[in-house]
Amino acid sequence: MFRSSSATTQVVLKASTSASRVVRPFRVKLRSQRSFATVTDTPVRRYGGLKDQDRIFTNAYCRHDHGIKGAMLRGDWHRTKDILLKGDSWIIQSIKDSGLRGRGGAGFPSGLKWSFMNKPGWEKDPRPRYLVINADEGEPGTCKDREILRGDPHKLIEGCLVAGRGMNASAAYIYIRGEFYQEASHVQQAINEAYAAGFLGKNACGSGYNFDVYVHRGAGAYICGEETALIESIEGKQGKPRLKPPFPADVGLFGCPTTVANVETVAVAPTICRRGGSWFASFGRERNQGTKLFCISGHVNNPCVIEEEMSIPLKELIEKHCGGVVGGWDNLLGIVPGGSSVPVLPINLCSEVLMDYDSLKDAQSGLGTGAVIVMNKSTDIVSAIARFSQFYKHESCGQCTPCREGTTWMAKMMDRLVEGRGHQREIDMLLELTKQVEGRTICALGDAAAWPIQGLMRHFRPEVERRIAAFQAANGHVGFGGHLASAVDPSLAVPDNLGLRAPEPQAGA
Amino acid sequence: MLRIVSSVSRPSSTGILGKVANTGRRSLASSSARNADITLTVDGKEVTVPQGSALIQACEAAGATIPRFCYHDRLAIAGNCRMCLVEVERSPKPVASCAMPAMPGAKVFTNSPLVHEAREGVMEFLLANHPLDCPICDQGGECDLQDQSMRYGSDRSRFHEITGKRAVENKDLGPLVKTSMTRCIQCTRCVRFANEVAGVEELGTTGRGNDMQIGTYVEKTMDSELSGNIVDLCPVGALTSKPYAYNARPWELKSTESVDPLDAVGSNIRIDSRGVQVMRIQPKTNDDVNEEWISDKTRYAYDGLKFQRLTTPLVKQGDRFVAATWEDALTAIADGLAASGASSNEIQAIAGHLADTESLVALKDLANRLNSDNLILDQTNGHLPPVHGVDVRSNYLFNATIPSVEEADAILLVGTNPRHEAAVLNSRIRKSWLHTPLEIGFIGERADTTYGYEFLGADANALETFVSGKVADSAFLRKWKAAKKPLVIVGSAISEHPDAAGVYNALSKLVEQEKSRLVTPEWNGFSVLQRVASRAAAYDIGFTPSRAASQTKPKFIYLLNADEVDPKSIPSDAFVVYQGHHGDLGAQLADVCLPGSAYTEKGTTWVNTEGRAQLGRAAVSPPGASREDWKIIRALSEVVGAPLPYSDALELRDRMWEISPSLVRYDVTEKTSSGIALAGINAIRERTAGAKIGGAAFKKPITNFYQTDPISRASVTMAQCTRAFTKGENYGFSESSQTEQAAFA
Amino acid sequence: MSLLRACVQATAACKRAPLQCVSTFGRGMANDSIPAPKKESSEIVAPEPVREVLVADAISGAPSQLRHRPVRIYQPTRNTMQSGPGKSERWRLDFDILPGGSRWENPLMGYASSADYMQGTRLSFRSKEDAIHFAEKQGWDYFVQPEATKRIPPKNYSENFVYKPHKLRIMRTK
Repeated sequence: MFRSSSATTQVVLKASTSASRVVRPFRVKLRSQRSFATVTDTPVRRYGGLKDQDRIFTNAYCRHDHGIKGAMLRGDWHRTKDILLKGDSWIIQSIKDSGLRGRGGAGFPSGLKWSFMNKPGWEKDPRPRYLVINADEGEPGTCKDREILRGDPHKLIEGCLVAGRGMNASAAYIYIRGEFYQEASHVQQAINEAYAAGFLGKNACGSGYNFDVYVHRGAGAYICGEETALIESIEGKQGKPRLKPPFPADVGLFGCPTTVANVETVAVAPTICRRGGSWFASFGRERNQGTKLFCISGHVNNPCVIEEEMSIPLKELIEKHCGGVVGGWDNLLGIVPGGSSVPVLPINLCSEVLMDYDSLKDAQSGLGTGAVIVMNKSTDIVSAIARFSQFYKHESCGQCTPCREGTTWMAKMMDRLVEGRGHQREIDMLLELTKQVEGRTICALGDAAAWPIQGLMRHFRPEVERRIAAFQAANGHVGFGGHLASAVDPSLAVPDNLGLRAPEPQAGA
Repeated sequence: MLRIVSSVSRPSSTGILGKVANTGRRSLASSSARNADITLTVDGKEVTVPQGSALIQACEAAGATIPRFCYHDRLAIAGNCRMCLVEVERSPKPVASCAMPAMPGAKVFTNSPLVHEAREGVMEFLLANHPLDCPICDQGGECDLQDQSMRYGSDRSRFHEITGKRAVENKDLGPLVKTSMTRCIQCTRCVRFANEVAGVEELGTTGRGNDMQIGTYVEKTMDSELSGNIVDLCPVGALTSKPYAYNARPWELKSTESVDPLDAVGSNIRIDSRGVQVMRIQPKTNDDVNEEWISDKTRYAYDGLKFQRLTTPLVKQGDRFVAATWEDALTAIADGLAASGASSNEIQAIAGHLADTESLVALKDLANRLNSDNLILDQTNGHLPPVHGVDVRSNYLFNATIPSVEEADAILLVGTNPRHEAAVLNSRIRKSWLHTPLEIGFIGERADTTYGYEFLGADANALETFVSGKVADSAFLRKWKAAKKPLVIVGSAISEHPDAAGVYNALSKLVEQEKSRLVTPEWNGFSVLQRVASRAAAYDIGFTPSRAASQTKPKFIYLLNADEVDPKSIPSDAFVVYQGHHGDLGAQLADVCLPGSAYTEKGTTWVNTEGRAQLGRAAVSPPGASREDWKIIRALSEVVGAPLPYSDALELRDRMWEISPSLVRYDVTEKTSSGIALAGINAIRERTAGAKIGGAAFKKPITNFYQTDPISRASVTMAQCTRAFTKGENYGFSESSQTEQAAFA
Repeated sequence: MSLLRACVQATAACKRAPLQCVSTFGRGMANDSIPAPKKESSEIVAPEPVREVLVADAISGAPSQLRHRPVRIYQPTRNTMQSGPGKSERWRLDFDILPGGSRWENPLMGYASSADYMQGTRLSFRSKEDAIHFAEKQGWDYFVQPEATKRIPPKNYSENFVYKPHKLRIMRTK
């Protein structure tokens, strides 16, 4: 299944020429890059341009029947029994071979994670074992799982069975976000159909393996997408994350070994098992293999959810599938490449990065859930990030101190900085606050709240400084916390640490 | 369980949990010893702790102080305050030491720059929304947040937001706990205590993020006998004591460690006094008795010590009392004794609930010197010799001991509601019930016990049926039959019940049947739960009537703290002396009142329901002319011409040693050997053979937990609790919340 | 058994087996004004040599009434209001209060006054033996309250979540 790299280049070239008809600036740039001299170099593999026959989610747009009939037409439940009969180690090995990494954001290698369930001597453990599917898709900008749940629920159900067999789970819980009503209905329908067809329940698919799938609907808290909070929520407790250790593979749902996996991760498992790990591994760069659903939203001409090869250049992803940035690539201000929790990238980085875990990490951002939020120059970037801060303030569970207090504090400061009401020194203070939150919290929500602000200050600090300067020019000196010097009674003793007498550092210094 | 080895002279704080090896010795044996202990390095010091310990325990064992807010030794771990972050080698992020298991070979740093920075950061966040009202906060001076912010926090604030700090509405938790929820740092200790120990499941968190609040989900008071402990647990001033509000500062208080006699648990307390007043009562940690908890009565009844006190001897003239000097009062008694013509058993001494051991001994000696055996207890049927006898100690004591309740795997409660009779003990049962597969059977009047139980019946017949084994199969029965350490808890009300003999007969049969499991050298599961502080001591010294004496009509009655007597039981022509500290029922019946001292005013011995003798200590001096009780009796003995042979406390305790050495072997319980215990049970069976069972239902002896003795009856706080919790009325504090004004207040 | 003997034995027992420490009374060693201890019963093992302690008040000029004031030697427990175990390592020696009106409230300001000049005296010692030795040296009657044995089981965060095969008993922690 390996394609020759020249073929890939051709495909890419073809794709890019077709794209160039639409977007002029891209063609110009492409020509300047592709001089004749590059031909003699070792062919560089270009990623992207997933062929239709390689798509996994063939009904992502729900244009066809999402029921079992349609799903079987599209190849679901095809010889699932044979996959199950190959045994747990074969399934996990296939997943390991495929290089699949968790699609929920953290990007942990899935095969490895699933293998934690099968520790030596697991058979002697009398406890039941669970697979929990995280369909609590709440990250702003992300809507990939939703498409799967809606259009391809059988892929997920089959994935539960295959992954569950791989980790010898006795049941799967699908935790669906409360707002996803239609999606939950489709999944429930799929489960019912699968039970009726004998694919689930006792002796699932005739393999002699018993497996149940349950749907659990959440109540719409973002934090319940965190794996341990999700477990708590299923247990009927408040959805507040647990600390780790204990890891869910030891003490998880109802105290039993549990693995929490993203919808997409699980849904691709049957196809990987059917077509082989090496097929899946043929996409994308080393360590970032596979295909992925990308959700592109924001200032693009055609926002969409699209399954693409991993490591596709971000620019190409946007140009090819979304009809380009509104107002052209040069009108781009910045892109948040992986959902609200990753730092924003400015235009110069956007044109270089590849959409995979490592490349985006090198660019000090992250792939996250693959939710690309495009912002063109009409965007108020400070306001946009302030909105993210508001989101995290609102969604913080309030359990641990740094997140509970930090998100609120950061949101308050960001709100002020939108209009520039602050002191120049407060930018550094805000960054320090983000550092105090990052890595000190129980779950990753604290990190997620800190990163967008760090990204903003890394790339758009002059904009923030300009606003502060402008506000001060209009309203006079501003102390820390947004106190206007003019509003403070000079006859009173004002504490020195209010910054009313602190000189402004030179902007940009 | 860990037993902390404390050597006699311990130089520094290194012995709390484990052993510290200062040498770099890393023995290979540490891995082989069945993984019981693990060794890790904390700040370069090797420390050995039991496997499964939290990292914070290991750090403590190594002598490193870890700041904490949410972690508490006796509560479940939450791990949410993040104050206990430490650095662990090869971990990129600081870890919360309370939730992290100690791993063998780990290298932990509690004093590194990363840790300092992390603590300072967390501290800053905690203070960001904490009001700066320390000057008007009752926690001031003993506030963890205050102390730790001085020690670990930054020296100045960076929080200047114009939007200001968070403000939270106060909750109404009842007449005991005052809330200032703006000060809350959401450590959830109170929630965990309420759910885990007290069994109040209404306390919890609502809202999320910065809007998270602690409260009862719907407006409701916190109905628990242990609610006062959340005041202690709260590391900030969010939960403070309502009766103590704005009364004192901790640094003004003189603390005295003593013992609480308001129930028979013998909770260790710390009496905080200022000048002549008891300002508050705090628990004193004692893992053998009350862990770290005390009941609300113990904690809040102290204001009863200020009201209704007898401060001067009173002699009745006509129908009114006249203040008298001690000489006059004692002479009046001597005259009264002579005039009544009482001799030998016609002299009756009644021991009340709050009588201390010293005065019981003195009174018994005095009565005996006057040739009387008419020593009766202040309870229903107290004039009869107790059905269980007093010859064998294990017949009337809580033999299993309080800490061992947690080891029991099946508990049968007979005629008792431990929640009201021994609230602190009840929390142990609940703890065990929560964490182990413990099953509980219950015979008696139904009660809310804070744990689930299987109701087996309400009277002696039900017990009879249970003993005969003719009961339907149930979860409890299966558990009981398989139990390795079964436990029968017999209420003290049983011996006051008309069917006492029948019940004890059935119980002795039960013990006989199950003696291989119930009474073994390691375990004695037959336990009587006394509810009155003086009772175990009274039995120990044999303060019980002889058979002949119980038939005699008394002519001279000496009430020692006896306030539960039935006035009808006192003959109208008898001369009655009341000795006690409160002008309660007993004083009304008396011809002469002698003012004694309350438990905070005397250093006396209290024997709890396990037979554990504990020495209290005087915190304040007795008011007015009142005196220590045993000294009053000693003085009286001179006047009536039968002087007692001891003139100071040490000599009196020598006498107690002669009566029973266990009375002065303080702080330990003495196990009755299983042979003697069985012999005692056999004696009960023989004595009660053929007893008839009337079949009257067992009644709860305590209907109002908050008012059981003269002190708590005199207490305003306890009266408010009675109104709020027992009667369920509005108790007067939350009325304002219903008026329209409250919206602006 | 005399108190003195009990005291001597108990302290000796403390030295031998620190776990089995029981509370002890002690009579100050000054034998001049205090009646001699009664004869101990014969079953008691060979008496330990009486330590020669010079009673200090002969030199210090402390009033001899102090000899009849019992002192208590104890290790103060941690204040339950706070987490810090500070000050609970040292042994404290203080006097029992005087019964009967050694304290009163000053009628003018309501301040507490006291006629007891020892009421504020709290001595702190590094070890129990030091405190006992001091009390003996001063000729004070003392009572030693044994230190509390602290038993905290190893605690584990995963306890909150572990699987229990028996009937589910929910304990909320949030």
